[in-house]
Amino acid sequence: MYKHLIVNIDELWLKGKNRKHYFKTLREHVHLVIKAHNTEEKVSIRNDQQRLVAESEAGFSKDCINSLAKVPGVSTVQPAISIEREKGLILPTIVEKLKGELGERITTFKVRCKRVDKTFPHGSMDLQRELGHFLLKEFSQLKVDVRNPEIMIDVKVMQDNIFISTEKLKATGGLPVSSSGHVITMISGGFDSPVASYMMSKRGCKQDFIFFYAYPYVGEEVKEKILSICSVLGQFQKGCRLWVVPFGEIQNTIAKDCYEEYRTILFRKYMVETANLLARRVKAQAIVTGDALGQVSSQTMQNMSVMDKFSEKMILRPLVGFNKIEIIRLSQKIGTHDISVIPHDDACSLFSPKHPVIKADYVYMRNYSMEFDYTKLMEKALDESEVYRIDVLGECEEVIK
Amino acid sequence: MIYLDHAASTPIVESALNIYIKSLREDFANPSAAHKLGKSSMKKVERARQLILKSLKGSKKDQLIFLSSATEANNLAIKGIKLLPSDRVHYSVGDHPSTSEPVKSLNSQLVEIPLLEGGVIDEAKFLESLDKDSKLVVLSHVNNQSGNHYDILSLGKKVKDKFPNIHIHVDGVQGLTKVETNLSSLIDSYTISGHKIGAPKGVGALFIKDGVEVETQLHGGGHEFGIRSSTVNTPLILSLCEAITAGLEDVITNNKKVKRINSLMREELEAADLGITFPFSLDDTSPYILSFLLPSISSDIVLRHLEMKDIYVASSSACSSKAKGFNAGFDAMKIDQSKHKFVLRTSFSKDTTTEDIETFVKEITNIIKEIKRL
Repeated sequence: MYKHLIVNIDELWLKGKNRKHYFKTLREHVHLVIKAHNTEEKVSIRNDQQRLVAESEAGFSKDCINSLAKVPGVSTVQPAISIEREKGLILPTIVEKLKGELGERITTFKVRCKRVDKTFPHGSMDLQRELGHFLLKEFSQLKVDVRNPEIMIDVKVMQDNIFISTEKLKATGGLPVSSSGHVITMISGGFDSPVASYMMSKRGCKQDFIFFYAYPYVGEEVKEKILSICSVLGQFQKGCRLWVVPFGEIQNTIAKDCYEEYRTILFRKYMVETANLLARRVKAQAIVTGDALGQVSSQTMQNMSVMDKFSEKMILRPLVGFNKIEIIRLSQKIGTHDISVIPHDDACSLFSPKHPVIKADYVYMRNYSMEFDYTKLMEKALDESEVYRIDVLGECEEVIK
Repeated sequence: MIYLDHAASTPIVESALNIYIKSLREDFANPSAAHKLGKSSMKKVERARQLILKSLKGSKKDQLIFLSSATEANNLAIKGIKLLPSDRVHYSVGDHPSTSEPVKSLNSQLVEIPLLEGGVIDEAKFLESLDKDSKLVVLSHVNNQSGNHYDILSLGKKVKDKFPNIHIHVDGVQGLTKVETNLSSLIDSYTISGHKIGAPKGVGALFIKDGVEVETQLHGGGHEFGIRSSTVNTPLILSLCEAITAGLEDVITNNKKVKRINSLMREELEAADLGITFPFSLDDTSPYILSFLLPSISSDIVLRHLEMKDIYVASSSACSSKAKGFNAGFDAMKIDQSKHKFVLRTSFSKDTTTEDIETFVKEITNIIKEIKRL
C-alpha cells in the first residue's frame, strides 16, 4: 500500500482571490474521505503549492484512492513513494518498483521529472534523460514512447523529499463541493436525474435530493432503488441528504381535479413547488432537474418555460442539450446505469394521459393553482418525509425525527 | 385486520404455541446427551415422529426427518436421490422454486410436466413422456400460486403402474391439513412446512417411505438417522407435531367450510362487475387459495392500497425474473405474459369469515373503481 498520495487540483488556475477558500473546501472534503476509509489511522494532509499531499503510516487502500478520484475539484490522484532528496536514490527506487509492476505486456515508457523546488541542483530535462538512459539499460524489453507510453514514471522533486509514482487516476475534476452553492436535486429512478446530479456535483454544488414517493401506486422497491442511486451520487458529495416525500395522495388529488392531458405537467409543477418549499427550509438556492429538451412531453420548450414561471428558485437543467445516448454513457461512467435499468413500477405510467399536453397553457395552470390550493398538502408531505443522511462513502442512514 | 395471505405464512396455532413455550423452558438439554434429561427430550421427539407418521397414515418403518424448512426438505429429497446423467427427472416449472430450482441443479435429463390451461396437469401427455430412464417425478400436492390441487395418489398409481421404480416426491407444503393426505403407499417422499400450518417458522419435515434411500446433504454428528445432522430442536418439533395433529382433526369439515368462503368470494367479486376473471376453477384447486386476474391493474398497486386498509394479500408478480411481471409458473399454466402482473392471490384459513370476505370485496371494489377512474 502507498503511504503517500498526491492529490492534484483542477481549475485552480482559474482562481484568484478566492483560491484560499477553494483550497480549504477541497481539503476538508479530501480529509473526510480519507478519514472515512482510515478511521483509526493518523493521517496528515498538507498543501503543497498546486496540490494536496496526504500521508498515512498505514497506507492508503485502493478503495480510498478510488473514492478520492470521485471528489469534485480533484483532477488526478497519484499514489506515490516518497524518498529523500538524493539523486542517487531515484534510480534504484524506480527499478525496484518497475520490477514489481512490469508484466510482459508493458513495453513502452516515459520518464517525466518536475522540480517543484528549483533549488534542487539537477535540471528536470537532465534527470529525465539520465533516468531514461539507465532504465533502457536495466530493462531490455522497454522502449521509450514520449507520446503514448504504457507506463509513465513521474518524478516530482519537492522541498523536503522526492515523489515517485507510476499511476495517475483521472478524477472528477471541476470545482469543490460547496464552492458554488446549494441546490435541491429532483431525483427519480431513471437515467437522467442521477446524471444531472453528477454534473452539478462537478460544478461544485452542495446537493440535497428530493424524491417523490407515489405510494401506494409504487412500492418499497422504488424507494430502495432511489437509495441505491443516492448512495452512488453521495460519493460525489461532501455529505448530503435525501428527502423521500410521500406524493401518492397529491398525485391522486391532482388527477381527480385536472384535465387529463394536464396531469403529467401538473404533477411536475407541484413537484417543483414542493422542491421550492424544501429549498426554502434548507436555504438552497436552486432546483436541479434531469430535463433534456424535447425528450418527453413535459420537456418541451414551452412546458419548461411554464415550469420556470412556477418556480421561485432558478431551475438548473444541466442535461438540456444532451442526447439520450450521451446521458446513458455518462450514467455508465458514474455507476448509476446498472441501478437505473432495474425495472420498477412507475406511478406516472398509471396516471399518464393518452395525449399529454406539449404546449401547456400557463393561464390554465395558474387558475388551477388558485382554485385548488395544495400548499398545505405539500407542506404536510414534506413534514411527513423520510429523511436520509448520506456520507461521503455513500452510506445511507435514516434520520430519526 | 383482515389477513388473506395464509399460504405465505399463517398465525401460530394456540396449542402449538403453548407447547412450544413449555418445551423451550423444559427441554433445554441436548436430546443427544447421554443423561436422562437428554434422553427424556429425545423420547418426546420420537413420540412426535411416530404420532405424525401415524396421522399421515404412514407405517412405523417409514422415516420422518425433522429439518429447518420445506426448502431444505425439497432439496434433501431431490438432491439426495441417486441419479445418473442419463436418468430423467420430471418436474413442473409452475411449482415452487424450492422444488424447481434444486431440480435444475441436477446433472440429469430434465423433462417438464406439461400443464393445460387452468394449471391442470396434461395427464395423458405426462404419462406418455415417462420412459425406462425416468427415475424421479416431482409434484406439488397443491400449487402455491394457482392453488391447483393434484390428485397425487391417482397420478402416483398411474406412474407406478407404468414404471414401479420411479421415485415420486411430493411437495406437500400447501396440501397438508388443507386437503386429505394419505402417505400409506405410492408416495416416496413428502415435504412438510411448519409455518404454513400453524407451527413456528424454522421447522419442517421430510417423509421418506420405507426402503427409499436418501443421501445426506448435511454431514456432522449423525442426527436424524445420519440423514440430517444438526442438534435436534425439541421445542420446534413438538410444536410442529401439535400443529399437524390439530390441523388433521377436521380436514374434510374445514375444507368444506373454506370452500364456501372461496365460492362466496368468487360470487361477490363477479357480482361487483369489476372485470376480475378466475383462471383457476374451484373444482381443480384447493379452496384455501384463490388467485384471480385483476382488470389490467398491477396487483402490486392493489396490494398496497389494500394494506392501507389493513387487508393483506399476495401479489404474484413479485419474482426473481429480470423482466418485471414475467412469472415462469403462470407461463407454464398458459396465462398470457402480459397478464402475469395482474394476478392477485388471496389465501384463507379455516377461521376466515364471511364478514372478512364481504369487507375485502367492498374495499377492493372501491380501490379498483378509483384506479380505473384514473
